[in-house]
Amino acid sequence: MYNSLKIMKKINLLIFVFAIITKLSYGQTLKADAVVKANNLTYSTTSNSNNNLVINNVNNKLQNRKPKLSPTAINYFEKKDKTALLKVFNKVFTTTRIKELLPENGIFINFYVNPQGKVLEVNFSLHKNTLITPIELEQLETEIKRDVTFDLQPKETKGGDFFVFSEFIRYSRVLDGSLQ
Amino acid sequence: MLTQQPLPYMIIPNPKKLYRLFVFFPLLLIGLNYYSCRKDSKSASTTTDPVILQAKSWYESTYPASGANTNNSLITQSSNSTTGSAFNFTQHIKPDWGHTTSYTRLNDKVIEMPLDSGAKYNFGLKNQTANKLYANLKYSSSYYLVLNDGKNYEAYLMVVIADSAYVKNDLTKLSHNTYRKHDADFSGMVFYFTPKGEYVSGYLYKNGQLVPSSASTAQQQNSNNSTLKTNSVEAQCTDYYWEVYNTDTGAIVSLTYMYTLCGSDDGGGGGGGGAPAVNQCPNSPAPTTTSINGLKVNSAPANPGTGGTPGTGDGGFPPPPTTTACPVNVPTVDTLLNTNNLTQLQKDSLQTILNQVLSTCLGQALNNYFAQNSVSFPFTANPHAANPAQYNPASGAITVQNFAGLTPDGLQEELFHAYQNKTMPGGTAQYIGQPGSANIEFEAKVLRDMNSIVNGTGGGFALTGADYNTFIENITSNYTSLPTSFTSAQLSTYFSLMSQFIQDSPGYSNDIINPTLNPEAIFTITNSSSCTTH
Repeated sequence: MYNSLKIMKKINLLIFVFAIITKLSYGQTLKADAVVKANNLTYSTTSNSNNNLVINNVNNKLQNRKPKLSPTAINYFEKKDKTALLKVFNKVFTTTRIKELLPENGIFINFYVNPQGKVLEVNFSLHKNTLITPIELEQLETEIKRDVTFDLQPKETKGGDFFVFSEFIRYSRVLDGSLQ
Repeated sequence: MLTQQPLPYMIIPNPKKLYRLFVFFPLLLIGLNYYSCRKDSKSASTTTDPVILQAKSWYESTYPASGANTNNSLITQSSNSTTGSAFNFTQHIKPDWGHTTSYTRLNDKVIEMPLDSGAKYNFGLKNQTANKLYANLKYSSSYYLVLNDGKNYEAYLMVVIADSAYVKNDLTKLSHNTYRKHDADFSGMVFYFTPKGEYVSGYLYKNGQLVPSSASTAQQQNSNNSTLKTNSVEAQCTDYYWEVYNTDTGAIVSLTYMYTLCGSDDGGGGGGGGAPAVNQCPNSPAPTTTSINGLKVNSAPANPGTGGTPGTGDGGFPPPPTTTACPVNVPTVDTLLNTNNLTQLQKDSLQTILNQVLSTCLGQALNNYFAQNSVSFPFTANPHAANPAQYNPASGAITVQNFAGLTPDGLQEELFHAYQNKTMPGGTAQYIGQPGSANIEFEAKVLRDMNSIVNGTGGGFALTGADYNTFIENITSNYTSLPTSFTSAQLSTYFSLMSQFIQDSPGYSNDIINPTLNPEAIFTITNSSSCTTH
């Protein structure tokens, strides 16, 4: 009898631990005008005039700075690997998760890119009631910085410090694999 | 001490066992998951049948593979032989000679076989106008056919795309539909291609019946005139492309123009339980013209009745008509642009970029306008030109510095400048160096940015910063569609951002704003397109 009680306590403890882990992993939601911590990164959220959430890594510095060169100086601005972003999304999100996110339509991302095409920073704009968690955003940001690079023409980037590539990623295109 | 005895039929879980279950069950699930993710392996069988070996020898000498090309970059190309080659299956996919079926049909010795198991591609018909893909890996089956009429060999890739309404989650039904025989209630599409990827013919089935083109009120459309006006009815045209995508990554590796159909809905509103209209491109009998509901349409071969094709009656799919691929029409650089001054290499580069422009609804709308109004532009390359790409409203010419730096967005922007010039009262030359010059440029930039964001291609916006982002987000209804008009608040923001644009962009700092010149060309073009209804 004593042993049974002891084992039942262990089970309860394990259930509690799993519940906490689950809560920490997926329970955090993104709300406007907040600072939320993911694993290693912290994000600040604001609501724009369209009622969407604009989300920045608190360490981002470029979104409030004007680039040295006007965006119109750049005519050629393409991803080096057209499949890289799709791979990133497939790495971060399961098909089931993407299906859950489908009603939100997609995610808007600004890629802040140096003249060599490396992604320095990203920021996001999301549906105001997004289901995406800060931890997923952190994974997305990390993978993008690691795997997505851009092709720019040196003669156009000369004298520039950073350039911004903007894209709206439709979840349906992640699902059907047509995201470029 | 009072103790409660358990009832004899109650099962009391042993806590120790429960604990073990609790710990080991997840491990079991993980193990099962790992096992299920392992790739299947399939052993290839070899054949010694001399008939098969001879056919294989013919195929491999006729279509030599120059090495597997697994490049996943998007190839948008035309299947019109005059404008470029289609996605060449022979360089990506092999027949599985180890699993052949041989029989005689319609006086041909037929060898039918699946695709080699290493093939990582699936195919689908894409309604480019509605951005809708008719493809589902689960409901598709593809076969190589090698036909021998006793004298010559011919080879085809046959792709069968079944409707979900027909499959009804019974995937075994797919194997019932081969070249030789299809189910009596088959609904879906069947397409034939040459091994080099040229479209030969396509057929639409509903409940086992071949749907004739006439039933779909569809008309193959000469793309030089993409909007038909017949008896005061303006028919909407739909461009269909053949999409090839990598089944591992899902990435599109090829998007090839097939045909354009015009009709009252979805290019004709073909049936097939959600399947689109299919251009059969029949070579025999030759299509004739008839009239349905005021629209002139092609008539198709007579409805064959259940389970057969005209003249065959054997329950199989219609045979590929001839060895000649369908003569499809695609807008070429030569029809839209006067490219006499370009080399063939430059023309080919330009055609590739033009195809990408035309793959968007905005590009189609621009092309439709120019085709209807017989507008053509001199197109030249000049490495010393002041800008990477520019349109001169006085001469009507488009000039690029070089083709390596020309993007679809860049070409579309210059085509829109041409559209502005043709549609704005008095043209746009009057604004050069005058109030209004900033309006012309900013309108083109805003349209470019809206289009790139709605189509999902992305790019560098005309302005950096949250204000412009929020504006684009707002006018495109959260990046879903192009606007039909601006509200007064949006118009006010538009002019405010225009002012910021000329301040922040040295190349446009001499441009002058005309506060009364509203962005009208944006709306005339978007309202003439399908881009406003994503």
